[in-house]
Amino acid sequence: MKKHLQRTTPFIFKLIIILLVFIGMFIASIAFGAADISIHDVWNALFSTTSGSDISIIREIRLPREVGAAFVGAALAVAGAIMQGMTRNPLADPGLLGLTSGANAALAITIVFIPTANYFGTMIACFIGAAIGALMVFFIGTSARNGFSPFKIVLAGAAVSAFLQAIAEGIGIYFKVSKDVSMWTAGGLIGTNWGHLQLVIPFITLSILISMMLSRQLTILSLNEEVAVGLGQRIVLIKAVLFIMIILLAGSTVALVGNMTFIGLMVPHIIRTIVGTDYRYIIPMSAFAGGILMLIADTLGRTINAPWETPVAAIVSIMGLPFFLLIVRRGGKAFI
Amino acid sequence: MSRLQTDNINIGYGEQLIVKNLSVTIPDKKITTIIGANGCGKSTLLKAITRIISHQSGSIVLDGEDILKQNTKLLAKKMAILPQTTESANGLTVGELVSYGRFPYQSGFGRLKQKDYEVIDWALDVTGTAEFKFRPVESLSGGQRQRAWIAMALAQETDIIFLDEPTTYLDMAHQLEVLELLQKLNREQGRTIVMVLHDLNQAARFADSIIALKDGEIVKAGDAEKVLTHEVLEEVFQIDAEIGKDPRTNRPMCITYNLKKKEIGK
Repeated sequence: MKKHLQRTTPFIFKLIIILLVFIGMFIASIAFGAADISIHDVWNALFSTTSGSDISIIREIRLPREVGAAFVGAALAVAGAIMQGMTRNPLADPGLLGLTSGANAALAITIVFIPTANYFGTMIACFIGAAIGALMVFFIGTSARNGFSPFKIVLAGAAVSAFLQAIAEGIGIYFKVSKDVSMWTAGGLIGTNWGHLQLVIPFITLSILISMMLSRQLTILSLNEEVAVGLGQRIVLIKAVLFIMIILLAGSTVALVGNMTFIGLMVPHIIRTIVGTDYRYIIPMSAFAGGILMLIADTLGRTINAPWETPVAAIVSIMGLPFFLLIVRRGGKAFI
Repeated sequence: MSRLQTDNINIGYGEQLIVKNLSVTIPDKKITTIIGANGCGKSTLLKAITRIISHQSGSIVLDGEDILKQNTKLLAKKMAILPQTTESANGLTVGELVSYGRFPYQSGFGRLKQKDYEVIDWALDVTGTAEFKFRPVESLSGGQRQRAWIAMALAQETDIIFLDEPTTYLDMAHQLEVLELLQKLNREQGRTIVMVLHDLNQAARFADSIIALKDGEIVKAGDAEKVLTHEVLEEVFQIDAEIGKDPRTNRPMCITYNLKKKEIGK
C-alpha cells in the first residue's frame, strides 16, 4: 500500500532541496559583500579556530548579520503563512496588517519614554505593539456591517499602519529621536550583533516549532472553522496560541530589523505552488524559503551599490509590490 | 431510548431567538431530514446539535450527557459534521483532505498509523473517490468534491453524520448520487444520518423521519406520510401543495404547488 497522499514528489525530497539551497545561499551571502572574501576564508571562519582580518569580518560582522537575515526571513514567512491560513485571507502579511507598524510605534515610544530599556525590554515592547496593531486592524476590518473581505482587511491594515507610522514619526520628531528610531527601522540588518541574536533567536525558533506542532490544526482551520469544530478542535485555544506565535514572530523581526513588509506575503504563496495547502508542509518550507529570500535581499543590498548599502526594506518592497498586485489581480490566488 | 435528543433548547444570536423551546429525538440508525423555509432555524439547529454554536438554554444530550460538557475530541469520534460551504480545500489532494478526518484519533505531531491509512482507503472506496486520491480537490467536479468531503467525514468513523444541505449546487444526477451514497451508508452500516434538505421530494424519498420547522419551532415531525401533507406544507412554506405518490418509491411527493393566496389587508 502506498503510504503517501501527496500528488507528486514526496515532501522530504522537497525539504532536502530547499535546505541545500538555503545552505548554499547562506555561504554565498557571507562570501559576497563590500569586502570580497574567499570561500576558503568562509570555511575557516565557520569551521576552524584560525584567525585573520577577513575571518574576523566574517565572524563579527557578516555572520551575525546573515544569521539575523535568515531568522528574520523565516519568522516573517511563517508569520505570514499562519496569518493567511488562520484568516483565510491570501493578502495577510505582518507588514500589511499593522503588526510591524504597531511594533515600530511601540519601539519609538520605548526609546523616548523608557530610555533605560535594554534590548530585551525593547523587544517586549515590540511584542505588545505588534499585538495592538493586529487587534486594531482586526476590529476595524471586521466592524463593517456586511462582513469582512480580504480587501477590507488590507484597507484597514493600510489605514492603521499609516496611523501608527505617523505616531512613530511624530514622536521621533517631537522628541528629537527620529534618528534613533529610523536607525533602528530603516537600518535593516546593519549593526546586528551576537548579543541581539542571542535574545531574539530563541523566541523565533520556539515560535516556529510551536507553529509546526499546530500545523495540522492550522490546515483544518484554513479549510473551514465549522469543520475544525466538527473534528474536535478547540478552535478558540488554537487561534489564541497561533495569534501569540504571530505576535512573537513579527515583534522579534521588528526588534531586529524594523519594518519589513511582503516577505510574509510572498513566501507562503510561492511555497503553496510547490507543496499544496497543507500547513504541515507549508510552515517548514516557508521558514527556509523566507530565510533564502532575506539572504538574497540583504546580499543584493550590500552589493548592488557597494560600498554604499541599499536599504534591504527597499529591495524587499521592490520584489514584493508587483507580487502583491499580482495576487490582487488574480482575486487572491497567486499561482494555484 | 435514542442516543441523541434535545430538550427545550433555545438558540439565538444576541437577543433574537432563532430556535425556541425545541425538543426533538433523533432516531438511531435512521435517516432524519430537517426541512423548512429559509431562515426557519434548520441550519441553526444542526449547528447547535453539533456544538458549532452554543445553545442558550435547555440541553442537547448524546449518550446521557450534555454535549457541551463532553470532551470535544471524544465527541468528534461519535459524530461528524459536513457544513454547507466547503469550497476552500484548494491545493489539498483528496487523500490529504480525507486524512484530516483522522484528526480526532491523533495526538502530538499526528503521524498517520497503519490503521489510519486503512480507514482512509476504506472511506475513499466507499465513496467512489479512490481514483482521485492523488488529485487536488479543486480539479474535481461538484459531485466528486462533495463525495470527497463525505469521505473525510466517514474517515472520522462516527456512528452519527450530520450534513447541511449536501446537495446544494449539484445537478440532479449528482444530487441523487450523494443521497444514494448516504442511504447506502445508513442501510449497510447502520449509520445515523441527519441532514438539512431543501428538496421536499428528496426528503420524502430518502428520510425515515422528517422534522418540519417554522420560525424555530417544530410544526410536525415523523415519517414522510405524516409530514408531507397539504396542511403541514401550507403552514411551513405558505404553499398550496398537491400531494401524490411517487409511482416508483411509493413515497408521498409534492406534484405541484401554488403560493397561498394572501388575504388582502392582512
